[in-house]
Amino acid sequence: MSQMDPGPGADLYRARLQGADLRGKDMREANLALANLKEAVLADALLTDAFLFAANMSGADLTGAHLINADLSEADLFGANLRGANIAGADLRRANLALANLRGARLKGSNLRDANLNGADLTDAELEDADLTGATFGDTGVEG
Amino acid sequence: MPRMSEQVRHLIGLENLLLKARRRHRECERDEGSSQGPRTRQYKLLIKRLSDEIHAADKGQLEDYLAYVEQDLIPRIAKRVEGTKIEMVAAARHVVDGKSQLMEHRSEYSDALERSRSVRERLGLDPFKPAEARFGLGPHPPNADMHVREAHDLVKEYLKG
Repeated sequence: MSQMDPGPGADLYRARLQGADLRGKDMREANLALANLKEAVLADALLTDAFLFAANMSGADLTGAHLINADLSEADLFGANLRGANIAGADLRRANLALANLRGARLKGSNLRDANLNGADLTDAELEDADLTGATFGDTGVEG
Repeated sequence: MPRMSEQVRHLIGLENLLLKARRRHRECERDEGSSQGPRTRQYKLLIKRLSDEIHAADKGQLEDYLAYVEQDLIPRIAKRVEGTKIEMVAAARHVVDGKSQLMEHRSEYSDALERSRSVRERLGLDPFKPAEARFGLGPHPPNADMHVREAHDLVKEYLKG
């Protein structure tokens, strides 16, 4: 059974956290695989090394969140706000980042293979050493 | 067309997640160079959880699901495979793209057969061989390599002409 108290290393597999206010929470190494985090508030949350495979994070507020080395493969981040988030070294293979706000996000060394970045705002995003093989970019916003 | 209950839809969703998790498990094992790496172990646990959920389904749900896989999914994919084969022979100059598409369908087809096998095993039923029965296809559809070779020959002929 899932332990429903968000904290470091918590097992939140398939947790229903739609719209939850988790801002600033320490959830390092938490298992959030298949969790429903739709429209959740995760601003400044610590999600370093978190396991977020196929999590539904569409419309979530991840402003300034720490997602370093997190596994976000197959995650749905449609329209999520990741402005200024640190996603360095994260795995975003086949993630849906369509219409996501990635302004100033740090994506250094991240894996974005086959990710959907259609309409995402990548202005000032750090993409050094990021793997973008097969990613789609229709109407991607890049200013400055 | 078999009925598609809410439970069957749920099982299809679980199977799709299981296929994605298995793919990630392979990727992590390759990236971490070990079956004991932290991510690889996480995916192993996830696969077990998803498999347990699927196996917890009752007999009726599994039968409905099996009907969907065998009467809808497999024929649909087999038809696409056949269509691709015909297109490849007709348009030999597009052989490279066609081969890639065929391989993709072959992989989907193998996955669908695997779904049928695993549910039949669970229900104690004999293995089902829909492809041979209905479309004259082998366990891997449908002599892809032969058709690719044929298409190559056609290209050669075309270039000679």
